[in-house]
Amino acid sequence: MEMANTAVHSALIPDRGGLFEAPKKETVIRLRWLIGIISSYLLVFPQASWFDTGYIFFYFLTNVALYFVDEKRFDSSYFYSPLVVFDTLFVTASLVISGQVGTDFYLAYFLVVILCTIWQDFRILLVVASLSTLLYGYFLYHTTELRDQSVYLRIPFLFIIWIFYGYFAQLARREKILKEMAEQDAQDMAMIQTLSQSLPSSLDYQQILATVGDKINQVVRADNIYVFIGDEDQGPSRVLLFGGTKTEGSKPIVADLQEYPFVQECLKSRNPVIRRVPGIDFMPAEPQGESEGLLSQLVMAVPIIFREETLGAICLRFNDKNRVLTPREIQFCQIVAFSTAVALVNAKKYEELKVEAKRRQIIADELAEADNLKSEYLANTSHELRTPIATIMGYGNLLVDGTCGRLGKAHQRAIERLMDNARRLLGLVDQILDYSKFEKGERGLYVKRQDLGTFLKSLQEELTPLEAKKPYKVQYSLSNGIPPIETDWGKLRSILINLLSNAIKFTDQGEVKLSVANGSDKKELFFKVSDTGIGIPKDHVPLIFDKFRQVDGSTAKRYEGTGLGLTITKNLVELLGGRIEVESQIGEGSTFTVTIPFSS
Amino acid sequence: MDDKRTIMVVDDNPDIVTIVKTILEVKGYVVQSAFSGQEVLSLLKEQKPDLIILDVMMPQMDGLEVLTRLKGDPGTASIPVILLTAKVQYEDVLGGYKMGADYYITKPFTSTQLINGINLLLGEGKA
Repeated sequence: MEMANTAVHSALIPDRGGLFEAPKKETVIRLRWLIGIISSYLLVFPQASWFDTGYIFFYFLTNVALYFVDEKRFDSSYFYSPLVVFDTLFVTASLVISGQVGTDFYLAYFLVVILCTIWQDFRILLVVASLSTLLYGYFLYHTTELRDQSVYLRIPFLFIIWIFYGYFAQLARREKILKEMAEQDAQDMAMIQTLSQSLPSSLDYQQILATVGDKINQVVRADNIYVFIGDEDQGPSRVLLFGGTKTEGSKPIVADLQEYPFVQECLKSRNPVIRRVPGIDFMPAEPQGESEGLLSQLVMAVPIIFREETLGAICLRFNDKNRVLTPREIQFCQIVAFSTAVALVNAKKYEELKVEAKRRQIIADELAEADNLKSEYLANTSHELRTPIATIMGYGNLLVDGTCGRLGKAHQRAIERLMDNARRLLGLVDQILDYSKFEKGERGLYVKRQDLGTFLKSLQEELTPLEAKKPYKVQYSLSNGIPPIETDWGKLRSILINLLSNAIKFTDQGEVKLSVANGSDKKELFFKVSDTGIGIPKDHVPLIFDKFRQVDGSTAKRYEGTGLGLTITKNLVELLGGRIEVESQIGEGSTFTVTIPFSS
Repeated sequence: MDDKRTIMVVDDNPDIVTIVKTILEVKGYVVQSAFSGQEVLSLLKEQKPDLIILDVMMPQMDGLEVLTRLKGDPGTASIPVILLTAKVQYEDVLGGYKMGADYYITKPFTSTQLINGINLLLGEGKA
């Protein structure tokens, strides 16, 4: 692309490099010195009057003055055009003043000026200037009877004039061309921009190709546009052929590349191919007779290349066989082909991504299903486990109650240990069940209005067996003036049982307290469970609500549990719309504060 | 006390039946045992107990189905039923009540829970 660009530019801009690359100011001033010197020869040589000297001196002064003019002014034709007019007047005037040139010289002079302004190529102009100057010299030599040696000074004069006017005429032409090219470039850029905006936004082949046709037609105006796209499924020599009259992409057909030798050539050489071919129909579905009767037509195939891969070709057909494609048009088609390549690759990637996303979704679904099964299994297991526990505890109770006869002290102790452990086992099973319910997301709220006092009493009863082995009793305190509230009591119960049983578990002596208070705004309730137990190390505090975590393995051995308690507790608190915070000092105890919103 | 009250205990697990039976007999009830839903239905044709303690999870005909049949039959609809089950979730309990259970006891249970429930349904003071 880069190379093509440069090639086109150098073809369009005449006389690139050399004289025209040098700063204009410098060149103009140098040329004017030459003009001045040549004119002064004409004026001064035979005999100089004070006027002639002053005249020349004035011209040199204007040239010196030019040194102080800003370089940028020389880029504007508003500056150098008057300069050229001035110089023309000066030179013509000096010719008149010198009074020693004949009509022939005037003729030659004006011929030079006219030729210079209309001549296209500066290099040929130089050659013509040299030749004509020599010719004039030869002419002078043979016609003039050695009137005066100064006659030969006219020869360099003409040459300098050639160069001077040639330079300015060329400068003006060059600027015009540059301006036109800039405009065309801007136009192309705008086109490319709309193209690059509209192409990647569509991820569908048909739409991309319709857009391509549309865009190409805005610049190149082909009678038909086709797009050949290589298709892996179809094999190497078969392609998908899209297109039809003008733009609208109909369904692609499978085409054999052998039938389109110029497309084949284009794909092979990876360069645009332009051919005059006999009138053929590309697509069977085309309106009949479109190209019938055409002896030949012009076709151009432009490859669609992305990185090193040739994806296909865009093919344009012109029914007018005398149609000439400009470098700019070809270049434009190449740019469109490049954008098309990007868009096609994007579309392909998008398709692949869609497939991949679908595949991942399936995996995710399977995983979710597996997870669900696991939760269900946990729930079922927990139910299954409850039955044997019920049996153990049932028989145990019969023994404890003395239903099966009086027991000795040793028996009773043994049975009590048995019952303790059965209860603990039940607790573990319950925690697993609770956890599996979370995983399944089965936790609706069951809100009921109740009095906190009654609730705390039932809590106390439930925890009594746990206190039995400890030298303290859990202390319950309830601030005055808390009205009966509406909340999910079952969940609140689970939260507090979890926290309190933990507190009791980890506190061998000292005290365990539950205090309930309401916030100053009467919208929040605080449940504070504090103990004087082993405490939690600072760096473990953020982790204690994680799944399956107790402070460390060794503590876990002493204070058994599933480690699910605090995770469930936190989840439950969040379900109630509340939050849980913990403060702890190692060796001194922990305080868990549960804050829940309530309405009375 | 009047004639001894009859309570039917239904569970596929004989241990549970034994435990419940032992507790109830100590309290002076006559206990009829059944180990499946079908057995309940056939026993009911001969004699109607004052109360039924029914397990939920049983093979073939589960407790909820037995419950539905009992409550659907005018001859047995008036017999109070206590569901005795390992299903402890709130939804299960609510479901049991919705299907016509009169009381719900979760396994494992204590004799106090059982007696409290029976007393509540049969309207008796402490024996």
